[in-house]
Amino acid sequence: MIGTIGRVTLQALLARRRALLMLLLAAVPVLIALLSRLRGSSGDAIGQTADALEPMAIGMLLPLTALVFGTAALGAEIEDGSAIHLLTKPIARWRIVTGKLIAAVPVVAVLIGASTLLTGVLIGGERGAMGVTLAFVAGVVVGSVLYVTLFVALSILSSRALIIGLIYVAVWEGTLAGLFEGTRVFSVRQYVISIVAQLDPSDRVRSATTLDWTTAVLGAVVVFVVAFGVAVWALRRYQIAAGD
Amino acid sequence: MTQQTPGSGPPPPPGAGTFVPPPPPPPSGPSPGSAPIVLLRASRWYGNVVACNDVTFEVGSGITGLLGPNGAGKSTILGMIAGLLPPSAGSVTLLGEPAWQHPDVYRRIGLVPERESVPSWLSGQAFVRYSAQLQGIPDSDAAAQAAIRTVDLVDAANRRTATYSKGMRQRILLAAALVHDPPVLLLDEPFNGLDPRQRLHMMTLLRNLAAAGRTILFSSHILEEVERVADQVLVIYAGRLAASGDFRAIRRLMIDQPHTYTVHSSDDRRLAATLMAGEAVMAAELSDLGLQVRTVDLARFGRRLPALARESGISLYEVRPTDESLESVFAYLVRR
Repeated sequence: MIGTIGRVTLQALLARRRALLMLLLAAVPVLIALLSRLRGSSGDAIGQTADALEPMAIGMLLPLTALVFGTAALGAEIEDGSAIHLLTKPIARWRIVTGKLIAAVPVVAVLIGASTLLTGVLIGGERGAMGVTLAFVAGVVVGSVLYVTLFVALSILSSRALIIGLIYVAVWEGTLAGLFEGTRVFSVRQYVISIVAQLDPSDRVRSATTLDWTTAVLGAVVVFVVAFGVAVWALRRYQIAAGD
Repeated sequence: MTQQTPGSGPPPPPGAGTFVPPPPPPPSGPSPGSAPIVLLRASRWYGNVVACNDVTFEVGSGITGLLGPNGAGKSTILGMIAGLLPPSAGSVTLLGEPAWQHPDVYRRIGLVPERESVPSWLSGQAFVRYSAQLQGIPDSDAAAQAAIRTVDLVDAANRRTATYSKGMRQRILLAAALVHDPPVLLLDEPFNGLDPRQRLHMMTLLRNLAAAGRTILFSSHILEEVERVADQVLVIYAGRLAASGDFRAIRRLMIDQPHTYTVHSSDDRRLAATLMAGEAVMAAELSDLGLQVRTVDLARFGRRLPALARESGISLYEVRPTDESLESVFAYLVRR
């Protein structure tokens, strides 16, 4: 049942123009890295890789792609009215949410993971930066799960999920978490950076974050559990407005 | 099907308006709660807007039409029955349990929503098979093919639903609703947008499905559609149950209502005097719009008017019903 929902959701996510647009967006850092490589590489490869991947992959591509696919996984069906076919079937709501996640999470993880890997390899793969690159890829996978779950829940709670999600990513994570240390404990981006720092064998990412590993893991687990629970709760209470 | 509307109930929320209760329930009928669909003093409001107000009825096997003008509350009632909305007050049960927050009930009902939103990237076959898989049917391919055969859409089954006409989308939705062979079918305006041939086909299909013992409840704002296909009718007006029962009885009530006609002739004043001298007309009024005539005996009025005009040497230019909208008929039923 979960697999069926996941398969059809995957078809829906990939069949539309948004998939192509996100593919083009994911190709941007790869192209930048390629141009940089063609101009010749020198200097601190690990530092260059970390400096490129943290803002581009973790700061921009990952949350934006997760926002687009996460809100579309169920939100698009809610918006066009076809969610009624799913909601009027004898399926527990947690299975529906899980089915949506198993489709949207891999799409985001594969797309941004591949973009991160290629970008890292092109910048410093041959100059000892593979370790930090793989740490970022692992961070992208964890971040995909967290962001997508968060945005799937948001798409059930609000028809303006895309705008609210964008405000969260740009204002909360992009600006406030940078200005006020206290807000970092509520930032998925900071959890991901802390996890990358912990996995990075070169210890170059560690200095960029103030959130410790335990807090980050705990925060990530809480975000996932709460977002998943809220999504199931909201779907159970979801009302489909009548035509008249 | 029985209709039970208690005279007293919880005070309606602001904006509910004033309503005259419908007629008392008929003396005979199934015991309350035994029918597949039961609404007991069900109300539903959105803020200050009342969509459904203190409605009580039961629906048994066969075809029942939920008749009412647009905005009467038909979709809200179907939505509550299908578990898409909870009632604000009262209770709604489907096959003995509330459908709201009980997804297991969907094993035994099929729903055709008004908005024919079919996933456009799927073929008709894939869409119905998807429904079968979500219902947990082991051989989903065979079930999908059988349902598609039932709605006579085999030739177009492998085309993407994006290429379907409105009628084809309605039929593929019906196939998806039938794929698990449910005993109860709920259809919201199933004839909307269908051409006459498709409409006839849909009516035959519904009659065949009902003959197999199913309970079918469909909504419509077209009197003739309900008349042609439904055994029983529930008339909804302004969120209230205006009348219910056998269609012929409802039809009689509708025909018996006073009718108003606007008549234009070569001599309206003399025609008014002539008509008032007879028994076919109960009131006549001359105005800028012409001669307004009110009658309770439509058949006699239809026979006498041309005869009287001919005898008096008056030429009739126009005879037009003044207030024959479905809304006026429903309003009349509520007032009775």
